[in-house]
Amino acid sequence: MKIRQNDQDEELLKRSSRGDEEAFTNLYRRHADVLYRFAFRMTGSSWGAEEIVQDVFMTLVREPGKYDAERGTLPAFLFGITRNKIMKYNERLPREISLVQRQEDGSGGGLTLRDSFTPAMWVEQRERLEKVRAAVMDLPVEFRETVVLCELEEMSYEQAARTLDCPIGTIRSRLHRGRALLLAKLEMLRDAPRRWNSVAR
Amino acid sequence: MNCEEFEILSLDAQRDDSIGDDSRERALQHARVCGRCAALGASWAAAQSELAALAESSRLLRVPPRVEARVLQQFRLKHEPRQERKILQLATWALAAAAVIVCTLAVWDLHNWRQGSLGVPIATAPAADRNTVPNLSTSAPGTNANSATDDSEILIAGNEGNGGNDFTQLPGSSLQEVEDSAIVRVRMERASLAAFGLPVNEDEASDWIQVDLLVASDGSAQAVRLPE
Repeated sequence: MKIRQNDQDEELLKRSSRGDEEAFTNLYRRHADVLYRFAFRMTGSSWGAEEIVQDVFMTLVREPGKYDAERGTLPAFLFGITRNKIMKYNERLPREISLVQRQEDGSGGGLTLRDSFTPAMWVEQRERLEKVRAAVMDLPVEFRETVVLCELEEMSYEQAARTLDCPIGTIRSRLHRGRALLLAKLEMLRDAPRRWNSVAR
Repeated sequence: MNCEEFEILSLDAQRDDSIGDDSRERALQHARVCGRCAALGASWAAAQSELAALAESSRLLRVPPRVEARVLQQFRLKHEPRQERKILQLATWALAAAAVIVCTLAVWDLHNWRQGSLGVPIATAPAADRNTVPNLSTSAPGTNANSATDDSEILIAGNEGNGGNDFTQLPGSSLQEVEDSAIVRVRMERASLAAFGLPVNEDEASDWIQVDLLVASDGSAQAVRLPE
């Protein structure tokens, strides 16, 4: 199934490099959302994620030949570009100040209430989610991306290893450290700091 | 199982399929006897539910349509010039082919011109109209062409002074044969005119000139004209 999907990706890429707009649109719609979520969860900014996804596909438009099928799948290639763009974005982030209040749903503002929630519950949950998101954002990049891929995108270790182009053992160890750090941060948010062997290491 | 093993195992237990059931059972047994590890397990379970809530809150995130529009616009910009370039390439090839054809024709023409310059007739025309006779002027070699009293018109020598329209009868030719004659244009050295018995300016004898000959039906030259 994966092989067939990758074949389709390659076929679409070939066609789009010849100027087939429909093929390129298909390719975009297949991968843009997952890349956007990854970028958003890594940067915490919907504007930043938009910019990153746009840059990733612009790279694909300008240099489709950069993708080498023998070195990996197209999604892994796109994730690789996305990771580089995220790093560049984070490097220049301190120099930029967002004019839009960051929202988890990327809407940039406004209030949406669910029927089952009272406003107080909504606010409480919102705050909690914001704290968890902030804790994830505070993780070092290499731990954050494994946590985002495995815990938030729910990828298997194998998928994450392919995506990040590293051995499964690396994913396992990064995830372990990332989880430990995350847990320590969340414990601190609950005002109940706990000592962790792996964090202390 | 000790606390460190429990720590490693408990964080991976839900995701890592390589962890067997007996390992999970041993972890549970350890948590029952170790309060610190039990708290750790509970803490991680709470964190996982929070992470799941965070994942759920952004699970339906989609790229805004404006990004697709911008990317597709760039895609079109990149690929439209390619079609134009193809047209340009075709036009260039067409122009190059046309240039080659023109050059070939020019070389062919030059070749013909050179053959003509070696004395081969380059144009033949019947004497204007069969019913009209070329305007002939008679001259004798050595006579003064500008003599006002003499009605004959002279060219030759240095010359082209006859306005280019009148033929000069060659010595020994018969004017009666003019009606069936043809006008033949040739290029020749001026010195060749001497062969017709005409006077030639020696200083310009080596010049190449264009001459119209009035040729009778028997092929003999009857008169000569230097066109302008």
